[in-house]
Amino acid sequence: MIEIKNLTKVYPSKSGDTLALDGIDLTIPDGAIFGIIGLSGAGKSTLVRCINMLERPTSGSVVIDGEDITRVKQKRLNLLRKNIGMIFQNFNLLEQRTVAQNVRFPLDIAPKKSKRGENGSPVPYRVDKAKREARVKELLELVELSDKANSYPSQLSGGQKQRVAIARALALRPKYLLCDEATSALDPTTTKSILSLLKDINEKLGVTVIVITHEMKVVESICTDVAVISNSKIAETGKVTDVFSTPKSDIAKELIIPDLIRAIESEGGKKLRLIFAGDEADAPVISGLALECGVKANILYADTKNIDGKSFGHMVIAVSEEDGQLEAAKAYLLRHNVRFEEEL
Amino acid sequence: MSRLFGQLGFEGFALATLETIYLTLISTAVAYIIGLPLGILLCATDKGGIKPIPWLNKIVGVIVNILRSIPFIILMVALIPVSRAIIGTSIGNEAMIFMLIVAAAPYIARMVESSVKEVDKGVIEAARSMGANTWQIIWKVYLPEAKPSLIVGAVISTVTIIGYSAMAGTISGGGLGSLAVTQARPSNAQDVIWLCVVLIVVIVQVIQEVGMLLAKRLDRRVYFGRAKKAAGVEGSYVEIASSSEEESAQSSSLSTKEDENVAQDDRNQ
Repeated sequence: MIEIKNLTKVYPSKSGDTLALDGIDLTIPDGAIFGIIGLSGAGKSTLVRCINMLERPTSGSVVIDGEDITRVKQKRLNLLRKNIGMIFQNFNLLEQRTVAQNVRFPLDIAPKKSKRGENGSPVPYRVDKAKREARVKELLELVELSDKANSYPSQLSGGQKQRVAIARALALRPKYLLCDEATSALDPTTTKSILSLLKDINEKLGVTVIVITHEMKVVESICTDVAVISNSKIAETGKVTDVFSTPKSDIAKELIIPDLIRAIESEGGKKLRLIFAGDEADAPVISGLALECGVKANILYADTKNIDGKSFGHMVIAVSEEDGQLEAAKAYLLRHNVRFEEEL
Repeated sequence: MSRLFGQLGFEGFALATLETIYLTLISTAVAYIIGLPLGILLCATDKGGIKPIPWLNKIVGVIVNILRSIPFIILMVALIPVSRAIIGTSIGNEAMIFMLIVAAAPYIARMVESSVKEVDKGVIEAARSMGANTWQIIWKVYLPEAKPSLIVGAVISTVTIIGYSAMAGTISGGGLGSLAVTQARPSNAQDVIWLCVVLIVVIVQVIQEVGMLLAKRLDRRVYFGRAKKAAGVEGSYVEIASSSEEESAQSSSLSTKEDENVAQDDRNQ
């Protein structure tokens, strides 16, 4: 489990300090695919870099499995980092090494078992060359790149490069995997295949995945939990299903349902936002409104998303306030257990 | 043909040529033993480097800059007493090698520093994220990743040292520079001087060409849009950055049809 407590990062400069992170509190449970979403400049990249101390936070703590890594010595930090794989937007492969040699890199620099025995490594110790090669083979099979073992990174496509980076990040069987905008440089088809690979890794290997992204689609398709970050602060956090069906903060609404906001802000009539969470989405609500209550509802916006196999969605309808139509509509919705909110 | 030319004969020129090569290579090698670690130190201890140590960086930087700013011919004269104190003599090949090393090491340090600084910051960040320590980054990231650039730097450094060695020949030691300046010029043997010039040009050309070829052959990067094969990889091909997974899955069949693939590249760009 990763517990981030009151984390603050300030970049000092002559023209004034920049506050990149402002009192971030976040708990990332084991086994989750945790999405951290925000617009560019919100501080999400700084946040993920504080998890493995690529950036030193100004204050606050990052406690990983009970150990505050902001307070450990460099040597211990290097050891702990081996338990936290990381992949990047630009892949960051070693250009002069083959695919297989890239994947072998973490194995080559793995900690040697000290003569006194146990030295508290959270990951496997350095093994002999044959075992390293065998592990590389296994990893390349996992990312389906066995045929590219002897190619060099410059001969690969973006998606293939990211697969190599994933294999490399998993070489030492880490407990955590940090993904910093890992799909932002990829086309939609490739993004999909990389995301399904990450989901597989989470499910089959039990790796806790932390995904930094500005793309809603990424969170929607693989994440179990999400934190929305805005202006260096956490605006909202929770299960993806909850945050997506009832976003509370303005920034979450803006990110998740931008068209809905526009629909609500448009002119004409009283607006009701219907929230579908689960099986009610199949009920014929609108025809029910028209036929049973004679309510003329004008649909301004409707969208459902499939999250974890359930339908989640919003619908914005405009209802006239004349002839008690609004009251009738509300009563109907209450009767049929359809969640809704009145929007002004 | 001058009398000196006749006296020297083939053997005389061959000896001077070999001496120039020998002096250059020995000095370059020793200068690299000093300059390479200094260059890495300058890069690693810099602000934003892998191990920032500002005071050390400043001290080494200032020493390197001072030595680099003194013209070699003046540095050489100034080093005469130093050479006498350290190696016991200020003339001959040993003294010349000493002076060449003092002049070349700081030059090489800057060359190495700039090569190593070219290594992608992202790759270094990735290595740090994998828990690599400073030494591991130096040995396994800095040096291998900068290799092509380091070789190019070594070629430039060697050529510079050949120039220095010819200058050093005027006060001590042997080689083509010494032959031209201390023997041919006083007797006005223009033919000897010009043959020395030609021989130096040939040495420089050979080093330049061989070095550049080596740098190119050892570089594993292939640039998009150019149908250049990576050294040592059979049937390699250039693939467009945005190609989808399906396309790449067919890579084995594509690799035998490199020309078609490149043509496709051009269409896509």
